[in-house]
Amino acid sequence: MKINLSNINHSYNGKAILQDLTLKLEHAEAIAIIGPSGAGKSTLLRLLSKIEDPDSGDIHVNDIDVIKTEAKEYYKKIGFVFQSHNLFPHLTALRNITLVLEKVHNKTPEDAKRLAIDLLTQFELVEHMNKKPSQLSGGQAQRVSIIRSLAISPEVMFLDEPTSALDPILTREVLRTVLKLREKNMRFVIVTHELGFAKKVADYILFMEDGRIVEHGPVSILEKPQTDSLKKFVEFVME
Amino acid sequence: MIKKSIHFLLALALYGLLIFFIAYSYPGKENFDMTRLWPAGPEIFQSWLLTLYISLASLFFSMFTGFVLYLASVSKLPFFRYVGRIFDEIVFGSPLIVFIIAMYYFIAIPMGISNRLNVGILAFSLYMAPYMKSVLLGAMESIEASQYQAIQVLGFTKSQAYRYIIIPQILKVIFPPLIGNLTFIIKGSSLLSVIGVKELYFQIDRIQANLLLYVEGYLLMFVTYLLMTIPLVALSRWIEKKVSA
Repeated sequence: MKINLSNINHSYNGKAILQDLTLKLEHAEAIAIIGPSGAGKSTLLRLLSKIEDPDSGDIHVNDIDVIKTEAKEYYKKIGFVFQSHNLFPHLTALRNITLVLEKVHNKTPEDAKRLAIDLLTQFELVEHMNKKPSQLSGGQAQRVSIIRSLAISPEVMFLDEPTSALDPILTREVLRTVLKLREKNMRFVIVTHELGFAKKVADYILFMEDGRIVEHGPVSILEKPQTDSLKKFVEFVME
Repeated sequence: MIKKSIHFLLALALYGLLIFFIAYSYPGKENFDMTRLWPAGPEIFQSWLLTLYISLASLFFSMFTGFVLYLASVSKLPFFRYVGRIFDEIVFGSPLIVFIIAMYYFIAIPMGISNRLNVGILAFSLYMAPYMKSVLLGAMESIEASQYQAIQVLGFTKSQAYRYIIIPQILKVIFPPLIGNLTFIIKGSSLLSVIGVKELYFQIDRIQANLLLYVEGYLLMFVTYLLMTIPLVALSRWIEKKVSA
């Protein structure tokens, strides 16, 4: 996966959230964005996935000019997993997956169903496929949401703290699913607070603070931080 | 613990007792005779059907007027929002009977619309628009903002989003208040008698004056309206239960 950011600035209501971000990454397959609350991690993810466009700067993901590309075209190439599962509550788990395959990705109903059931089986959720989101546990719903994003075979997936709304047991369940994504060689960028998990799942770390990328590099930077900020953050989280 | 159904029967018995007490203490009870209304049965039944027709037609058209008002209220142009808001104030500030009369004398007659039934339906369709708009607003708000984000990032078009995601959810939450509006229209339809629409109240009122059967007529009115509204309220509760299940 290639990510190229140049001079990204972004603000909300006049308050600068991201300041002059520049980054050139190649060959990172699983990137974890870590950092304290309010560092701008989720905002960066939203810009990478074109949920929002930055105030200024350029973003390229896998050589796609994210800002200039038509949103609908870009969304066909990426998957996004929100903090909460955001499944459509009136549809079953299966239909949540097949609807997007049929209507957005023009799969036949048969193909969509086959693909969805196959993924639900792989991720051990097939017995819940006819349940509505309200009948699923938080972890199961989030896992279905991950499968919904995965089903379209995206070039890259963006996961925005997918476990933040879950208790520790359900968190483990979702993290196992993300690990499975890694085993499937899915490329993804994940915002997470789970440092131990980031170490396990990611091959590249971006550490953010106050709207800036303070340190980035292979996972080993968590063992040997170069900056005081990352050092303090790691110590604080590991305490 | 006593079963719920026994409580229900006891409550019914209380009302029965009340009715018995009223009937017993009524001064002209020896002349009370519902059967004398029997010859007017077909006429009354026709007006009952007419009331139902007026109510359903008004409900149907008020969905359109309500939708237009909803679009105005969420419009980006302040002009449309103001047009909608002024209309809301006019409706909320007018008693229904005054609105019906105003519609007939100030709008229908100058425009040459002579069919009183149509004027009545038009009046209701307009009067109910702000209420219907509120129902639509509530229904739209019932869809969490996060769902719109998911719709966006999954790549659905606007029409797909409405067809497959938004409208099916709205329909579920919209039914109970819709039936609430229908019962409001049924009850309010009796006011169309002021412009001479031959609905249920108008007909029974005429018949009871002709036959001098006032008490019997009023009782019949009571029962016939309840025969329309009570099943609707029950239906609304049933749907509510189904939806929340």
